[in-house]
Amino acid sequence: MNASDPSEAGAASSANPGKTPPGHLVVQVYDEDAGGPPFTIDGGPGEKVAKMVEAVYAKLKRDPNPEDRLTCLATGEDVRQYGDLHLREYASGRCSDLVWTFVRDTGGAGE
Amino acid sequence: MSDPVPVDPEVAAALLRSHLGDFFANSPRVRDGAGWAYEITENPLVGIVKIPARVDEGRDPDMYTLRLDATYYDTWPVSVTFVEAREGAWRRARIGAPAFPHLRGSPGAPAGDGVGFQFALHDDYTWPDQHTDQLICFSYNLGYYTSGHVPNDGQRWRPNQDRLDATLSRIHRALTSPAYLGPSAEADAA
Repeated sequence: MNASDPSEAGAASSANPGKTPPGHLVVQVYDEDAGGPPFTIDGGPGEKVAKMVEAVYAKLKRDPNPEDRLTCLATGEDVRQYGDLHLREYASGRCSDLVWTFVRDTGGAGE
Repeated sequence: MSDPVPVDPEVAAALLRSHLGDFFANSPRVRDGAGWAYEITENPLVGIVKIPARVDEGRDPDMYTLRLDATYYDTWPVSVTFVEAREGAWRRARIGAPAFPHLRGSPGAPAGDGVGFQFALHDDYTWPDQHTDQLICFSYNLGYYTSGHVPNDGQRWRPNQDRLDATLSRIHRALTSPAYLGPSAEADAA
């Protein structure tokens, strides 16, 4: 997957064929606690990343928890720190694949 | 959740086989990373997973082997340990061996920033009943619960919702984090 092809609507996910408006960017999200194939969310190039994060939680049917980890798979960076960026800007410089992973908080020793 | 009670072995074995297959079919970690492999042993409640660590440029990734015991799965997480093949069997890997990873912040490894979330690898941990064993201490491993650790609600294993994906993805995240220092044998020799 590269920065501008499959994450563009039209080549979008098989999970919602034909439902993604033209020009929208598609984010694949893997719930790494529940497993299974990814779900997708989409937004226009000017959509804020924070809105996309809200959409992830809506799909997960969960309330946001600051200890959750929502990260860009390619970079390992936290997605939420870029909440103020527009999706196009985020995709062009921060996470070009637009593949995210989600896990809940982890209990254990240290950090 | 109360004290762990074994799950019907046929059910647990079927879940282990099915969920391992699903993980290998779906996980983006497997899709993007060479070296991943798994097998179910002669004991259908035990799986073996080959897992790669962080790849440094110009090198093949260090590989580790995990033993997953599904006796309590999926009411509880699998019991997971780093192992090595010895004397014809999978045996617990010990600190100082190539099969035991060094993770900064874990006992026996250099101090400093850990893997980025609550997680520690103990070579020899003492349980409340005084038996000792390796403990990968995080709330998606059975040993975390049997050793007396208590998670908060957001960290607790969710029966019938969480899968072994939660276990394997966190271990992989630890092994690909900046806190991964290499095989224990190499790190000790350095």
